[in-house]
Amino acid sequence: MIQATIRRLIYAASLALGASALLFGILDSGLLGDAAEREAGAHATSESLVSARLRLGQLKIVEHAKVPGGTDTQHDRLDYGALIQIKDIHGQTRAWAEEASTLSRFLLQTKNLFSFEFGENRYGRSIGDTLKHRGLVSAQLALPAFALSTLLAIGLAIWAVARGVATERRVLIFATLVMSISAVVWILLLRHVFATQLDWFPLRGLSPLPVLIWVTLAVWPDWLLYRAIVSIESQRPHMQAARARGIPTRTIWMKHLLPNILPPILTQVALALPFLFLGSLLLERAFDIPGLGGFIVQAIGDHDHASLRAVTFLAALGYLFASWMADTTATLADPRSRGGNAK
Amino acid sequence: MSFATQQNDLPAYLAPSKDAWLGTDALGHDVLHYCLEAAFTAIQVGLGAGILTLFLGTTFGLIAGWRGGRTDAILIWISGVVAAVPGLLSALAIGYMLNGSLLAILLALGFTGWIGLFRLVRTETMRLHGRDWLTAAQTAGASQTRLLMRHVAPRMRPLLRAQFALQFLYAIQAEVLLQFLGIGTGRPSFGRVLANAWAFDDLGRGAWWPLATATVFLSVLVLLVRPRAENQRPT
Repeated sequence: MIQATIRRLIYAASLALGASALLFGILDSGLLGDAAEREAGAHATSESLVSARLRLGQLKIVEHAKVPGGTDTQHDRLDYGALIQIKDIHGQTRAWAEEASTLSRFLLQTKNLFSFEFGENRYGRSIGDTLKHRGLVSAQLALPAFALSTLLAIGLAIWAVARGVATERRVLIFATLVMSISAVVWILLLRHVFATQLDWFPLRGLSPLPVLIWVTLAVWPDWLLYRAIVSIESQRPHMQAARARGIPTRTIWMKHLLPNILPPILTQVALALPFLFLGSLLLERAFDIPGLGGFIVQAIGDHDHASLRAVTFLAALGYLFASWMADTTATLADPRSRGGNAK
Repeated sequence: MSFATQQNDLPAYLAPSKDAWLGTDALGHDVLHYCLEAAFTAIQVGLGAGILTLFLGTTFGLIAGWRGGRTDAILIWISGVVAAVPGLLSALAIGYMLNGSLLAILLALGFTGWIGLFRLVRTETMRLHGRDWLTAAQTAGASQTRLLMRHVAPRMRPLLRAQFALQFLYAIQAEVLLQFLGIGTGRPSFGRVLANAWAFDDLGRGAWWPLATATVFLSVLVLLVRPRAENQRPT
């Protein structure tokens, strides 16, 4: 058990390292374009471009000028002609920098990501602090909405299967129709009806309305999955045997069905948890909620690479942790999956 | 392919009439023509991303399932890395870095969508590996590529068709989302109709037709393709 856990942890660490490499490849390697040029914008001056390169780690300071505008005589061996001058707003040389190699940039970025040092965004704000603050706001929206939609989907799945095929089919048609309409449309429509027309909820900020919209949208895909799980489980021989023995339906469902559908549901819940903030990407934008979803949208709009990199890496770590949690909870909920003790 | 009237000659928010059957939007686009072009973009994105996903997922899945061992372990690890980064965030980052061209959106969606298919094809290939008829073909001198392309892959056609349909649906919905969030191809798109409806508060102005038309077009497209995604049973 301990050996297996250690093996799993090492594998997860290697995946996290791979995720860091993938992010580097997409955002910082230059394969898909120059990140500094994107961040500095189309009308960038050479100073703002150098500043962006420094912030993104493309330039490495090799020497600070002791006297503004001058060079440091202690380092006569430096070839100043090959170096890039870092100037202040008065045009005085403050430091000398050189191009950082791709490998050194990747290693530095990986070290920073793994030590949760996300640095500052282009406006000089600490990314780590912003993520903490915004994460708490997102959690206030995402957690109650997720809990509600999951419970509702499980309840609806059990109800539909218990009622029979005709009810299942009716709910399935309804679910398909709801899901065929884009989530963006639902958000615009429900926001307009309940916040503008009926004036039941505020147009902006955290209120029960975004939570209710989340539940309305999330419950149907979950229902499809949970219905399949409940349906398969309810047709198992032990369930049929229990029904044949005349055990009350309520007892059958509570004692025999629920414990058996729990492991796959727990796995699903654990794997969904780290991506919850992505689900609020649209809602946070629509309701001006200052959470992580809005942060991602803002980071893209502002060409803020460091923030985008930090939030994506944290999501990857969250997914890996959730996978591990899913394995563990499934093992705890279903002793059969522990294995090894069967005689 | 391009449809005629796109914009500018007509006033904004013209209600459905003889001049513009489904009205005009905030920018004076003829909604019907714009949505037809948007449907064309959606189909292009869906087909492109679907084909790319199919190619990547099937190729890697066949190789991993057939070769096994270290090759399989490496491909499983790569798929684990790609799966660890949320698909939408990867797509946003790739689309953003490539400045939101159509190719960028296709690459972004194809790159993030192949994992599910890869796992299915790999499992199916492992299941088929070592079957008598495959051994017979191998003994008859068939090369590994021929075995995979002529004997293994064709048996997965229903699975591949269903996965292609699923990927098509994912791609058109993701494209709408990307366009809505500002990663645009510059072409007419349902995401842009929704973003404009949002930015110009169409519903608040009583102009329901751009949103309604885009919704109907998009839903019909989804409902037409969804049944194809149902049957995944391999032969």
